[in-house]
Amino acid sequence: MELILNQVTKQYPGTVAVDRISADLRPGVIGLLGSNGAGKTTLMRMICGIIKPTSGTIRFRYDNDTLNVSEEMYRDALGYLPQDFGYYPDFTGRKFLMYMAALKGIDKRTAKRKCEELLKTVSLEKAANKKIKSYSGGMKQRLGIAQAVLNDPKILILDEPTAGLDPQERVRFRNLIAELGKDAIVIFSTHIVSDVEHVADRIIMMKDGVVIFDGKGTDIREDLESFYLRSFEGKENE
Amino acid sequence: MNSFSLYKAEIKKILSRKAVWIAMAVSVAFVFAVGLINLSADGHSAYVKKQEKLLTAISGNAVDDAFLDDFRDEMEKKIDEDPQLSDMPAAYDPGAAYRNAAEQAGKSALYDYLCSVVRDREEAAAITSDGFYRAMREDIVSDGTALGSSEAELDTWLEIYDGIEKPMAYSYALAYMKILEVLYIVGWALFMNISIALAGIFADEKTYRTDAMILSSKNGRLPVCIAKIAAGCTVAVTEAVILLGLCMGVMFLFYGTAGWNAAIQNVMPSSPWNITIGTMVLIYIALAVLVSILFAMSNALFSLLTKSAVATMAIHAAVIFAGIFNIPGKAGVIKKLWQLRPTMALYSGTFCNTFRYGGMNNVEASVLIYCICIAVIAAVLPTLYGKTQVESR
Repeated sequence: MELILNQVTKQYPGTVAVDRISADLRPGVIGLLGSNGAGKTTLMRMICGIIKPTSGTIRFRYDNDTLNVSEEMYRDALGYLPQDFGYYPDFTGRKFLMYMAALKGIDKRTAKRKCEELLKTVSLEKAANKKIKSYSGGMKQRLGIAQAVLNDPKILILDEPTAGLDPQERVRFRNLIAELGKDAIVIFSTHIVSDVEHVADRIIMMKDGVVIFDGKGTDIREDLESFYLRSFEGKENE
Repeated sequence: MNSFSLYKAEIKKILSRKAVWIAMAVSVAFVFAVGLINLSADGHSAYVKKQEKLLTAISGNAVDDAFLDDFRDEMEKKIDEDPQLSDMPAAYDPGAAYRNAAEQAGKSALYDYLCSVVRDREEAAAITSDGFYRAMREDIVSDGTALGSSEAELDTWLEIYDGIEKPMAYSYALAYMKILEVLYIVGWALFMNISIALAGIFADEKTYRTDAMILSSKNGRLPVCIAKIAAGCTVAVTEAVILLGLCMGVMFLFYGTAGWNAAIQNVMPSSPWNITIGTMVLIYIALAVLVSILFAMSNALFSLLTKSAVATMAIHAAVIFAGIFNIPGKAGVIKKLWQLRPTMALYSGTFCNTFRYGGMNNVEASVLIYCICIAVIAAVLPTLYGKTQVESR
């Protein structure tokens, strides 16, 4: 199972958001680090098929099949938590998960079972029948994580998933990510170094649309935080 | 199975909005209130029931000289018995004595029916069978001419009218007459409800920022688009059935159900159509369903294009508002086409339209045009969904 990014580029008038990124991503947790505007979200959106790359290809090789990003089978293997997680305010947490399950093509019985399981995993079982508009920021984020993993995705894209989580929830979430990373390609973006250094098997650092580091945390001979800050010094000095 | 779950989920999503239920409750209360207002205008319910009993008893009788003479004799007898009935100065209202007598006899609906044919209260009291059918025919010509119909179009309709067996059977059908009177209100309430329920059908994805999650899910492209369209149409048709059903139910409750098999001219004297009232009702129901689907589709289209529920509602409000206006008969083909606008479908004048549309009557032409519009939007929406949601980013 591998996700192959080949010279993926996204160009907008006057700017190149993502510039010829190539990578071979295998099961495990991939931490995507970068400051705001580095191109992380654009890259993730392209991997999710929400944005079409200007050039380059994204393919998923699984069970001797090569799936294109626009294929239904590809999306069936995908779980996504966007940076700005949206929800229907009048839906309850449970109803929202059931709706997302229908979108993901999960049959009703499995959906019910999965929803209950996940509501428990993200500690929302007591608030499951409350309207999402009454949820705190952390609760909403946990619901977002639950919807992303509803279909047991092979590719899990989490864009700034730890935003809004308290320290305790952050630790629980990292454990969850590590667990998911055993069987799936988990890409999660953040600009908080401590989020990735404990769980990421591989770190991809982006700056101005290009990859400036791709490797294991252990490949870095210094403290990750210092390395990260040093990598962005140039930008700050400009 | 999965597609059906998605369809059900989309329906639940539409119905989860408070505004949908509030709008529906207001419309239901409004239709019920209109029924009550009608009843109070017609006197108390005991009188309405008495009238229903008396006029149902003479329903089925041919409207011929004998029928008209009997009615006239009864009214004159009443006037003789009660001089107060004719005390009203003739200059003030020449037919008042007969109207008062008819009311006292519990047959005011019959007198009002004669007046609606003859359009003169005094003349209505003295009408003969020949004059009655001549007046009906003249009404078709005068209304058709005022509408802007050509002589050839009028000839076609007069041929249809002349083919109706005469004398026609009278039938008490006050419930249907009342339904026709409030039909346009029901239509307005329906259009308003559909717009409130469906304006956000695609726009909500952007408003609530769920579009990215939806698009990246397995059924997030064509299946969700189809599910949304199907759910929208289901909600719209259900609303149409509820409002139309309620309107009919209220009127049937107050005025009885008699008249289903009677000729349409019993409720619409200037209609040249050779159909029964029952057929007319079924056609209205079919039109309501079709127009609801059309409105649901256009809501979906504008919701997708504007990505704003408010903008979609504003567009539909403008369309509904524009529908109020009439175009003068002189406008020719524009007037003819304007008569087919969806807001006209639930209008009592539908069966008095004497235009012809290439061999078709207005109902056939409307059905054809609405179906084409629905098919075009249905074909365009999935492509447009892909284009606006993914390719434009």
